[in-house]
Amino acid sequence: MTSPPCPQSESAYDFISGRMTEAERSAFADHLAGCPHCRAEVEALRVMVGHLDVWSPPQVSPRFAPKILARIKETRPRPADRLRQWLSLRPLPMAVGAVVAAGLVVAVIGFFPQILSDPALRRASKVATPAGPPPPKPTITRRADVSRTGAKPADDKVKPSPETGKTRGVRVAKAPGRRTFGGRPARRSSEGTPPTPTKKTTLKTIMPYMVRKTPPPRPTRSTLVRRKTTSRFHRPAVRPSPEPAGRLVKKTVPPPKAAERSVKPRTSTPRGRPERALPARQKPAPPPPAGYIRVARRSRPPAAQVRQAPGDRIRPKAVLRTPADRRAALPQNLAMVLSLVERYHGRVIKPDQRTSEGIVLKVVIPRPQRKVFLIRLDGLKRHGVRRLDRNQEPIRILVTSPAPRTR
Amino acid sequence: MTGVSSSNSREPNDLELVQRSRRGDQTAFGDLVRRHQDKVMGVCWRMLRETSAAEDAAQEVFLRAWKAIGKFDGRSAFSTWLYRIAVNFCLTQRGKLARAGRESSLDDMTPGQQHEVVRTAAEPNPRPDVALVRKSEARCVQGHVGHLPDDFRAALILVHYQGLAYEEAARVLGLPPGTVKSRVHRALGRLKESFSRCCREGI
Repeated sequence: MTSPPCPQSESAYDFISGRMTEAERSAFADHLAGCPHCRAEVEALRVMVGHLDVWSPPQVSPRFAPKILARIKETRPRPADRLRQWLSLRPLPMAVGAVVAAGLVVAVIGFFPQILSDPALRRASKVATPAGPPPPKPTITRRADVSRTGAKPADDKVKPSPETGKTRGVRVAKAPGRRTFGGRPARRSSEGTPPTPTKKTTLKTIMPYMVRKTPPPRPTRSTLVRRKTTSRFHRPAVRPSPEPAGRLVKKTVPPPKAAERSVKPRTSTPRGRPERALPARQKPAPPPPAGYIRVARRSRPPAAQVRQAPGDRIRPKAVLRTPADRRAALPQNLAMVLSLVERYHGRVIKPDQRTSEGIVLKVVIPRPQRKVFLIRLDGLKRHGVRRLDRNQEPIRILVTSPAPRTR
Repeated sequence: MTGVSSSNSREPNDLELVQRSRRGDQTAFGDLVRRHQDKVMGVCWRMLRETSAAEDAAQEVFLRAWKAIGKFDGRSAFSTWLYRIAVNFCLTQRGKLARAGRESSLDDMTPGQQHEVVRTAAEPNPRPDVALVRKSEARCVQGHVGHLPDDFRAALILVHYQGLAYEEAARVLGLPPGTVKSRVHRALGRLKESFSRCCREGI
């Protein structure tokens, strides 16, 4: 016959393991005197716990700690330790650097008010003060900047860009007859011009050499779009060069050929086929100022370099004959072109002409890669114009007719 | 009861050693290892029930403690923090062994391994007849400890063998103290039933 369960039997383990306070222990002992179930529980637990207690783990080897330390030494030191070690090895350079930095700060703080207060220094550093009404020399600027800002020759200030609404480049103080073109900083005016007293003295006016370090603006969308009108297949390379792409020279001996080359679009493909005229979506470039003509500084490479010579046969690596193959390979072909373009930061253009064997694209990667890829696009009706970053090097893609089949 | 620790009296020394270990002092960490290796080894051995696996696990526990000693905030005892690492690592190892079908228990051990475990436990008794009985009973009880669920076993090991209070064991396991106490009670209840069945069947 078993004793009825007692709710206080859960405290039997605490009782035999000494986890009770004196008050709890005396209270439970009093309870044990009148509860046979708890007494049996305590006795059974004592026997079992006695068996559990003798279950002891083996002794730890004396080589245990050295093994762990050896493994710790093998491991890479923690970043905090490396930083601490680095700091401990380089106390002198850090101290020297701190002293130099503090000295620079003190020098700048102490010298800057002197610049503002000294008229001689201000006059010597003044470069953006107004000069005479017409500039004595033509100002070198960029064709893109002229087209973007639309600045008139006799304009006396920089107009904001029609796209961004911001004025880029150097903000020159208002001065009659002062002409600037876009983001190129203006030339220094004649020495000795007294400063305008009503003008606010800013850092840009007294330290233009700091402002001149601003990188020149990159060609904008309007510039690139206007260049589309020159040719569909042979686009002039838009190279992100720090040098200006065009310049204004004085019209002493007008070179009409150069002017025509820079404006007149191509009328034929390299193989002599007529080319469709693109719709005139963009306004023509603003005329150069009076007495100046615009000359393209960087002429595009001649088409003869990449043109397929008569008799040459383009041999694609793979020719897809059946329509099923073409359908299956269409994404791969297109993906190949796009991957090439993305890899070399170019763009894809594709005309409307098709042949029975599709269209072969000759992708010429300009320098420094100097690679040529022949890609046949089968079954494509039309491509869009894919242009990546306009400031990156484009890929010139020459579309040639496929080679005749050899029977 | 064995393994009752006196971590409270050593806690300041542990903190000093921990601070030195944070600065990269490996000697201080070696002292910590020597001070707590028995506790960690006891937890690992009772959880994994294999001497070689327990040694490997204990080494891994101390290596993890060395790598993460910067995260020890000192709000609990260093031994409690070590116990947490050891229990978590052993539970992970047991899960891996169970998935690999190599979960060890005393019943699955070879007779030589069983004899080794029980003989070590029965050595203190001088009388041969009593030693024989106790060896049989201890084998039964310890065999069933290996069949306890992991959460029950972890609570029983921390509370009974490592001598932690319910609150400290609760901090190690991340459980409320009442849950730990309940698990210990239920684990003891299961062992008592198994022990009674073994006694009735004559082992």
